[in-house]
Amino acid sequence: MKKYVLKRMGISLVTVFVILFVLFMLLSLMPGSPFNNQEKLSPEQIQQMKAFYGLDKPVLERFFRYIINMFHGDFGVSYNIQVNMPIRDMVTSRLLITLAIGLQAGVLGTLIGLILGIVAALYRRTVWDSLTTVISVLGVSLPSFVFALLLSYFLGFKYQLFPLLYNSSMPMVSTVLPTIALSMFTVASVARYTRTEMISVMDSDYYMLAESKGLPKVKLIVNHVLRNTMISVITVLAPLLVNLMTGSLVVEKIFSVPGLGSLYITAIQSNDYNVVLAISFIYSVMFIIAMLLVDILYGIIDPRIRLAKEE
Amino acid sequence: MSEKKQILKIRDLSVSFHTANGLVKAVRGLNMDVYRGETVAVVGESGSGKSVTVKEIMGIHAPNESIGGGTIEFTYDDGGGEKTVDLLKISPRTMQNHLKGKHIAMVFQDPMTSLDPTMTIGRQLMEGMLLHLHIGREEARKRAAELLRMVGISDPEKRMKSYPHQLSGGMRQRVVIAIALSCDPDLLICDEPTTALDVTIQARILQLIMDLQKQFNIAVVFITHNLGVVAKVADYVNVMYAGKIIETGRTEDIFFDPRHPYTWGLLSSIPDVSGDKADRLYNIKGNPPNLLNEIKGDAFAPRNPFAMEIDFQEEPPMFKISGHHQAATWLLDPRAPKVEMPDQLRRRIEAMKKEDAAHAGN
Repeated sequence: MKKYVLKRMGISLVTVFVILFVLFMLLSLMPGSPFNNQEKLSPEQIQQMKAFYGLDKPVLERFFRYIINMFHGDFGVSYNIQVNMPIRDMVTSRLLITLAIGLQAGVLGTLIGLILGIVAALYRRTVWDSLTTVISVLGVSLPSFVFALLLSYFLGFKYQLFPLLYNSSMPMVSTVLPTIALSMFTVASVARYTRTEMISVMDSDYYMLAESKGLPKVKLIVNHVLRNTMISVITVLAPLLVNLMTGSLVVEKIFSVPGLGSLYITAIQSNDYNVVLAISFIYSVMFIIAMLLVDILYGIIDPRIRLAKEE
Repeated sequence: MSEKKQILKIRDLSVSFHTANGLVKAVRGLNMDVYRGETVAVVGESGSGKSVTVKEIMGIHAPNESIGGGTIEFTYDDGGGEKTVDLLKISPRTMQNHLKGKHIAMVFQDPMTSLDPTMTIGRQLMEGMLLHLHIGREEARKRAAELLRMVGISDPEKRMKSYPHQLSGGMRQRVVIAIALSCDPDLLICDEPTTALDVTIQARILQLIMDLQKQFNIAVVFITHNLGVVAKVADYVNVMYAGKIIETGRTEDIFFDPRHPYTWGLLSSIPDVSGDKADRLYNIKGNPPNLLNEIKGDAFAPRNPFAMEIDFQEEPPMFKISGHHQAATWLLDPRAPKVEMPDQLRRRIEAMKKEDAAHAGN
């Protein structure tokens, strides 16, 4: 297992660099420059600015310099959003907010999804089952911004239970609506997969054998059904995490959360290269860590995977 | 021989399934008796109702199933003296908590899928014991190892830590058998336990079941469509067709003196490899009846080359031939014309008898 994790981390590192390289090339191909009011600047002045930031050098040289600086913890400075502010300082607080919302949505969504799925499978063809089906269909088919708008209208505006927009003086309460909006898709997908998978596990030969031992229902579910159900549910968790990240871009914008997502969009629009690169780097790393966690979890739950990896 | 103790007594069992096309009558009035220390085989083609019958005994009910009537009386001793219950009348909870695993156990068809892939063999084996035998973990572990050794698994302590995917199909079936025997059941149901295994392993698993049955003196109900298996393991044979038992008797009766034309057909369709000339493999013409339709007369009549007019009008009763041997065919009615089994089958049975006698002489 240890060897496997190390190998996976090595591959992940290479992946991150490939992502950064491709991004670097794409950014250098984008029209325009990162400097404000460039129509008012003379070509000489722009040239001067470029020389100041080292942007007049060839792309490859800039890339290698960027990587070397990165190893020293230096991600460069912002060119126009907050001029000359180090990226590290700019991103840290925002990263924490985005992470908080993302983690809350991920954990909450998975838990609620699991509970709904299990209840639906256990009480198949009852009201609970139908209710779960309705939630699943809605959650999967409606995009997160629709929920975000509904939530902000009803809970934020009409009943004023939660702040309509992010309020930095009460950070915890402010994350409630974004978290709910973001978690809907996860709830729906996890509930659906859990239900289907659990029903098929309870239809399996090994369930029948376990039942024939005379085990009470609770033991059957806890010892045999849940673990086998989780194997398949974990497989769909990885793609759901991607969804959490892309979803956060939109949801942060709607609730004006000062997170990475909204900064990312602004940075892309204004050609603030270093900001775009740094946030892309963070997203890639987060994603890779999440995938690795899912894989390790998979190994813990499924002995077939765990034992195969040890060999 | 001392008085035989009856363990299972099925009378007039009828089971139907509600399907999109209508009511399928899978089992239509079935009688069966099983005694301690004996193996009863139930033989029949796919869809004849054999699996449905054992599922009723195990209390495995499909949601679309309805029981038309009958009784399944099961006799067991739960420490406080002997008890007889109707398995169709007791609550699912009683069935689950008091009978399954402890008094009635089952060996399933496909060992590749019947063990939980996420649990070690040892835990799966100990689960039932911890529940029913009221023993501690250490004792259960010891007993589990002993059981594994008994079913022919070497190095049981190490094997108990293995997961199912680390064992071969034959080994897994041995584990399934060990699980079934772990709480000393009175009745063991084997649902085609060797069908999914390759032939060399089949014989060994059959031998194992037979040995263990003698050792534990339990009753075994053996479901199969393989007559070769029946000849090897069974004391009694029930031949099933379209949800009914159409011939029943001791194994010798069924193999050496079959009376029902369907049994003739079944016996004729065993591939014969001993003959000098390669015979064409016999098959019974036609298809089994659609159990959605009301069956008038003998269900086998349309496929029966010896069918008489009455076969299409009235259902034959069970005619008694000798002590245990009975068959449901109008050919046994005193008024029926004398019909003999086909010559080819007769010659084959003579050969089997000779072989059997030679074996017995050894």
